[in-house]
Order: sequence, then C-alpha cells, then structure tokens
Amino acid sequence: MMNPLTGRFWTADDYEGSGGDPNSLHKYMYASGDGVNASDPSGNFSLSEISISSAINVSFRAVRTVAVLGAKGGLIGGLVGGGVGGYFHVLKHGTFEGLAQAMWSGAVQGAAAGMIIGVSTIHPVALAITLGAFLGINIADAINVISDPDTTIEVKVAVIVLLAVQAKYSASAVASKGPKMTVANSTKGWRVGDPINNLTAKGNVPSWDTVRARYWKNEALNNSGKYSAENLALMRKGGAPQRVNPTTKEMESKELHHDPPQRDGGLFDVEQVWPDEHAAQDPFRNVGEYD
Amino acid sequence: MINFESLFVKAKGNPIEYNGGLIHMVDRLVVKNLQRLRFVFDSANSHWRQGIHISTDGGFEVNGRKFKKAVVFWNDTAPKTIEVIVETKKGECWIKNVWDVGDGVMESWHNGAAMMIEDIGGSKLYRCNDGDPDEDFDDLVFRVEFI
Repeated sequence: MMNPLTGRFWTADDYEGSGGDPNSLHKYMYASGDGVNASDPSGNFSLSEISISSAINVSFRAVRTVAVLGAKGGLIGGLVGGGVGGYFHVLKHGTFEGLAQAMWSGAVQGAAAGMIIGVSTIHPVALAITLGAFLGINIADAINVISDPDTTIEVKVAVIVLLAVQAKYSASAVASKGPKMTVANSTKGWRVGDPINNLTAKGNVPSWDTVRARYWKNEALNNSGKYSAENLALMRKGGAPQRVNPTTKEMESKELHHDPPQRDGGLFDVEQVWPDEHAAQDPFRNVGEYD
Repeated sequence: MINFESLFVKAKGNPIEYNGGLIHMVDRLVVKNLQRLRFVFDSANSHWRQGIHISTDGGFEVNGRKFKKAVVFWNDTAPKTIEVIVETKKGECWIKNVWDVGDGVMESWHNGAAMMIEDIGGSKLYRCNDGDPDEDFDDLVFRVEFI
C-alpha cells in the first residue's frame, strides 16, 4: 500500500515477482498498476471495507452522512495522493517516465485514505484514532525513507516538511471536532450587563470566581423579577441566590453547571440550577400533544 | 406585600401560619411502596410555566417507564391526568410547585412560593403561589388522588 504523503509504499510485497510479468517485479506497486479493476487484498483500506463497517445497521440518514463524508475525503485524498505520488516519483527518479502510473497509484491510495479520514470525522475519537494511525505509519515510513542512502536530500527535506504539516493539521482537525465552547473575547474590562467572557481590565482571561460573580450580577440585572429583594442584593454583590430547603432545613445556593465541563476547558458556558431540581426528569418532554 | 421567602427562611422551611391557616413550601405525602397516585391539573393562572415536581427515595413509574428519584410534570406538555406508581422504602413522596419564567430554569421554594393544601376525602388539593410575590394562590391548582 502506498503512503500518499511520502510517495512511498508502506510495505514491500512478499511475492518475489515473475520475470514474465514486469509489473510483479515492482515491490512497491499497487495491484499491478490497475487500481480500477484490481484490488489489493493485503491493503489496510478499501471502499467496501469502509462502507460495510461504517454503514451497517445504521439509518439511511447516517449512511448518507457517512457516504458524503467518505466521498469528500476520498476526492480530496485522491487529488492530493495523485499529486504527491507524481511529485515524489519525479523527484526520486528524475524522469517523467512512469509518472502517470505513479500518480494513479497515489490517487487510488490517497482516495482510500481520504475516505477513511472523511468517515472518521463523524466522531472526534474516531478521527483522533485514524489520524494518529496515519501519522504513526508515516513517521515509520519517513524514517525508512530518510535512512535510505539512495534518497536525495531534497526528498528527505520534503518528507520531513510533509510530516510536520500532517501533524499540525491532524491536531487541528481533532481539536475542531471537540466540544464547542465559548472563549474569552478581546474586550478588556467588564461592567454589569457586559458579556461575562470579557477579558479583565489587565487583559487576562478572568478566573472562575470572577466569571461566576459576573454571571450573578448580570442575572440580577436581566431577571430581577424572578428573585426576592434579599437575593437581588446578594446577586448584585456577585453572590448566588439562596433559599431554604424545607426537607433539610438548611440554606442552599443556586449552582452554575458547566457545559462543556470545566475540566474540558469550559469556563463561560454555564447553566443555573437549584440543587433539588437537578435530577428531575420530565416523562412528557417533547410530547406536547395533551391539552 | 407579604414576603413568604423570608418567613419560610425564619421557620427553616416548616409550614407557617397565614390568614388563619397554614401555608407550605412542600408536602410530604405518606405513601406505601408501589402506591398508585393520580395527579390532576385543575387550573393555571400565571404568566410563567407551571409544573408539579415529585420526588422520593426510590423512583416512579409513569406510563410504563421508570424514573429514579424525581420527575416533573409541566402543565403545557403533560396530560391533564397522570397516574404514577411510587417505589419507596421510606414511605414518602415529596410534592411541590415549580415554575419556569421562560429561560428554561426550573424554579421553586423562593420569593413568593407557597402552597395551601386541603384534604378532600381521598385526595389532596394544592393551591399554589409561584415565585411572583402575590397572594392569590391560583398560579397552579392541582389534585393528588390515592388510587
């Protein structure tokens, strides 16, 4: 199977080849150069494997989503793989002879890899695993290329650059699939009524204590009709509203829950909840036809 | 205007006297395990969404589905009449009024909240004041029947 990033195949064929079939003598050729009619059963990825594993037992909508993602990834991967395969062929061999075949092989393998990555984007964990696997394979392959005495310095540099680019974009792709969260904006300073994600007057990201105080001050401003005068006084000082719990006879405060969790970096995305109501479920949620 | 919240805080959440009767923050219904209850929404007169919040140590069965600890019935989405099976070891079910001013937050037990509770034969009638600090006790009226 060919690595579209480095222009080399990941593994050499075990078969020694036959003198009667020149293509079979090439230890790094895909399916004798016929990527349309032939397949590579020892390869890691094929269209049928991806389609079956991804689409089985899921709804039509999910299948359509997977198909679209796979097609997009396959198209991009094919174009990149073809270009990279051709580029490295010329760079390594110094000739355009065999360029079309190298581009075709690169395109086929790039399309397969692109489809896998495209399908993986439906979930950040799947994407991380896939990109991690590709990166790992490419690092191992790059070591082989760089340590090969026949490899020119230009190819070595190009392989390292491409590997670095892949690592950067892999990390970016995974990060972009993570939970969406509000980040600090660029405005310095905060007054009651301003967004709670403003920077501090010194330009720092506010601490959680500061964010919480801002939240309750804004709640007192925007939702004053909800609360008693006593609670509004507390909230205007940055404190949470309180109430007595008649089942425990104790005072309790309204809480702010993070979504996404604070441990995942969520600082400004919060929802308010009273402790006693937190666990209640609504059996008729989203029903709404009873009147 | 009377301040129910501060009166309940002073009373540590216990019922307080009001107009010759008692008003409550919550009702502790004594029930046996697998007690069947019927909740009936009678009326609502509030600009805020009204609901009934029930909790217990075990769980509830509603419409064949089981729920742990606590459920809420909102008057704009639940049927007028709801049958519930209470699973409890402590033999209790807590009932209170909740409301939502429109921001999706379930509110209770503060500001103007209070309930008048009447025993009527085999059922109980709850006249609720939500967080709006008036004194008309008509924001939500519902019944609980033992069946």
